[in-house]
Amino acid sequence: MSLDWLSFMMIGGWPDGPPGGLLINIGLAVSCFLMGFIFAVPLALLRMAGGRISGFCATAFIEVLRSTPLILLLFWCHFLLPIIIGINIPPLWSAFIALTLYSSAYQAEIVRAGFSSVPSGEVEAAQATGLSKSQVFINIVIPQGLRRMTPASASFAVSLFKDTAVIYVVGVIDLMQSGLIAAERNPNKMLISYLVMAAGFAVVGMVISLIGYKLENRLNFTRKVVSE
Amino acid sequence: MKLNQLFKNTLFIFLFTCAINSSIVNAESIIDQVKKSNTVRIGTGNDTPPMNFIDEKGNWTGFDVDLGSEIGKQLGVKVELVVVNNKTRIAYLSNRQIDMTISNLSQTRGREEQIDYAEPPYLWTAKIFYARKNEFKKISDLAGKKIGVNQGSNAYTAAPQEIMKYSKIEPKIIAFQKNAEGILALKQGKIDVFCQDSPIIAALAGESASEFEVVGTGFSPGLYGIGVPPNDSKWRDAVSFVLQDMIKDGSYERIYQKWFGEKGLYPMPHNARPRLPSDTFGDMAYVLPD
Amino acid sequence: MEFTYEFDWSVIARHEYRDYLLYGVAYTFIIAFFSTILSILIGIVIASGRLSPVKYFVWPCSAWVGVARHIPAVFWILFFYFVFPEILPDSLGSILHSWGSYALLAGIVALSIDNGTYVSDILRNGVLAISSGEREAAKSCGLTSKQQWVCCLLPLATRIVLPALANRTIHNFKNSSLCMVIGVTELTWATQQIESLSFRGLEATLVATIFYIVISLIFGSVSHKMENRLNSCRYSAKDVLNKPSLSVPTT
Repeated sequence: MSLDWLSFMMIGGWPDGPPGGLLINIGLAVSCFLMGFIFAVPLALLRMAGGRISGFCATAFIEVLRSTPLILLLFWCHFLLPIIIGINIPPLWSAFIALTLYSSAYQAEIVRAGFSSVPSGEVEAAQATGLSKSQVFINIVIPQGLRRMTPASASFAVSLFKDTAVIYVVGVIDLMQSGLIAAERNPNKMLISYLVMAAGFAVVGMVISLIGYKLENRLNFTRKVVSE
Repeated sequence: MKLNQLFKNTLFIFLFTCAINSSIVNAESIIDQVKKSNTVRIGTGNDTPPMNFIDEKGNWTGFDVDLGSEIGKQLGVKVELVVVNNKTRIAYLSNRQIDMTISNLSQTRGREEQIDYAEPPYLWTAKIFYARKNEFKKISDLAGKKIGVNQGSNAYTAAPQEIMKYSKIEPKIIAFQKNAEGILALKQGKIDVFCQDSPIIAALAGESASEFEVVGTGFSPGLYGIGVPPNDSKWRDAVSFVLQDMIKDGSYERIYQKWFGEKGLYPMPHNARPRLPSDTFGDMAYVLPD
Repeated sequence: MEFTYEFDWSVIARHEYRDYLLYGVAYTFIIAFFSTILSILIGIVIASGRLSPVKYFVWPCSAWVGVARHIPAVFWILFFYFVFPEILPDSLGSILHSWGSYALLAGIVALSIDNGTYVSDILRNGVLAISSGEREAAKSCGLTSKQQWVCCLLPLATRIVLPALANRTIHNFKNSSLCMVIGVTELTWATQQIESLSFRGLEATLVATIFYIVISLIFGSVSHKMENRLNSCRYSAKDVLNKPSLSVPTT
């Protein structure tokens, strides 16, 4: 595998040309994770404490997105959303939209689980000290909930990064697609192209796992200190 | 039932939005829109060398891409390339999400019902059956074999039709997402023949072309046309005239030589330019007189 | 906003297109069913390897899980279809290549490998979640090590892992749609095929999406019910201590 192809699989034509390869996967995973989280918190709150209609809408949104295969969601955003809103969406953007929707639905459930896992005793204790409902929520439920959802969030981040591999079906030149292109142009180096693809996903995925693990440990550590 | 209600409501809202939107009908010709916005949206694929593909520098290139940018230049507007694939290229046109598609699109009757084509077809190729060397002699040998096609190519219907002319046994069709996967499957023996247009097969087989051969001759015309949205003859004429001007002034020839000429990137053994029958006209380009 | 799409539901009613959808549903279920079964077997093997006292079983299994859980399912699918037969000995490889149903098999195996790593994690966590008290209790009753596992620890672990396992199964069912990339004629492939032949994919895609949602929700609610049921008949040590009368038969 020549160096040219290797750099094609890692960064595409960047910085002179369009970015591609692994760079796209990492960029999409990071941005969709963050965007998803921004949408997830209000969704989770609506589902937990929203009114009848808003709560129902949030639940429906989450459940529908969670039960649609990502590849189909991608087809919806790529082929059908453009028909509905009448403007073209480049593949990268439709991948971004699909992954953001997907990650917001999954993270909403993680956030919900995190918030509801805060022991009711703590909430009651805080209320007994005379804090208002919103104060309890901001000071007690959010910090503890966030801490409790770290392991689940970290493992979702890993799986979101993995799932970015699917976007190649709509024509994004990501690591998967560029690896396949490399394999088809150098037929006798197919195995190496596939190994590079796998290594790219595995290494970055492990780094994400490691970051999640470190974060988890650190948060647990502070909790211990606080509780002591 | 709560769930039942959920589906009904979502479906209802969705269909309702669609219904509202569909009442808006656009009467303006695309040529005016293009002039107004100073951009033409051209739909092109990115996984079919030599027509349209991504090179190792990550650039989008190919015959279709060059042709599209030349058309934009002649129209005097900027080109916005939109990625389509073999399955979306028709739907995008009929929904007017793109102004034209130049994406190895063979003219067929089925597609003609959905969209319109500019005149003339810009590249004249043919569907061929491509097999490993010395396995099959003629098309009738392919009865009951495994035929690979690209999902979205009209080979899906054309190939069995052709084989059924000679035999009653239906072939088994396997549809891949990419042409390159078809060639790979052919090499590995997963399929017995791969059916696609000749220039695409030549470019994909590349160095390994010596392992393969064409079975029979080209059977279904793959006349690549520029697809335009239906029922807009003003726009269709504008595109046709630009294409014909390009054939007349030699800019078409320049692109043709770059890709398919003798010294081109993918030399083509036969003449695939749009042309009139040589026994009547000599060698005359297929361009309508004024 | 301009929208010119007019729904034409007759497309999916036409028999050739309807057949694509029906075959698609059948293949989707076949893939989902067999890959789930196979992935649970793989999960059991890997989990017992990781839990075994023999060091030489532990680290290969742990390493495998560490690497494989970061590799996308769609990669496994393409790998098993195109590359795996190439690295086998030539004769075996060419048998696989020329076998007509190899795409289906490759898809099932690939999804099982992908799902298997998750299942092994779930099973391992389930076994580890059984408290040491419960283990010792089983031991002190005089049960043999085999009896301990069969009568006490495994049923307990099953109860713990069931929700997570059900979740993974739904996920695996959805992942079966990825098999379209190697031309397995499952439901998502069928929607794309209808799009490419009739140029009207929206109706078929809508139907397929609703199908996936309905099946996932049904499975989800069934597993939820089952979970509740298992939990309701469970007496933990705490319950017994709080209600001693339960264990004393009254006359």
